[in-house]
Amino acid sequence: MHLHKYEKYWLTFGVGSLIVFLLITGIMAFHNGSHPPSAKKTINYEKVDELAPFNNPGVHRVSGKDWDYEVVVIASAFAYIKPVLEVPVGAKVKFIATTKDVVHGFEIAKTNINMMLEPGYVSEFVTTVNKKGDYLIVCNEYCGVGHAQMHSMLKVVDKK
Amino acid sequence: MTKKDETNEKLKGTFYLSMTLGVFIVIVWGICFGIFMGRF
Repeated sequence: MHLHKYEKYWLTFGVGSLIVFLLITGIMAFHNGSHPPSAKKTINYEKVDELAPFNNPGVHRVSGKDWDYEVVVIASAFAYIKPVLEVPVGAKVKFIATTKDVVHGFEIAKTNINMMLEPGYVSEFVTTVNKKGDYLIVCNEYCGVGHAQMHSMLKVVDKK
Repeated sequence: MTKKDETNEKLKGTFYLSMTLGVFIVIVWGICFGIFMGRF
């Protein structure tokens, strides 16, 4: 098969780009541990308020784990519990969230945190909050008439 | 001008356009990746 030299250049560029992209994706996934939010755990959505850790929503400092804080959030039409969450800058935080009714979103604007909350499932995401500021938490899954008003706030503050 | 040179001349524009488009895609991808890495 005859390939023109320009075609060879283009194919080399294309295949080279593909290899670079795959290498970056592989390094991000297997070395840096960057994965989509998991929803492997299940929960009885009718008893969310009674079951741990959702019987005590909010920010909790933990020890003996790979992360420093756990942020436990319950979503329901049309609010998050709690409405304001405060964590210190530089902390490794695990976000644990679920919904009591319909599908909701949990997106923290201007960050990479973006989870879908499904009834009966627990969504989790671990990250290090390394920039101070107020970050708006919004629902990005249409959940009903109050969807546009459904929001909360993550405050990343100086260490006390 | 030989037939080979003529063919090269005809394909030059297509080649430059394809490479420009490819480089543009790679640059945009790099910018998006930079934004992703800069966020927590």
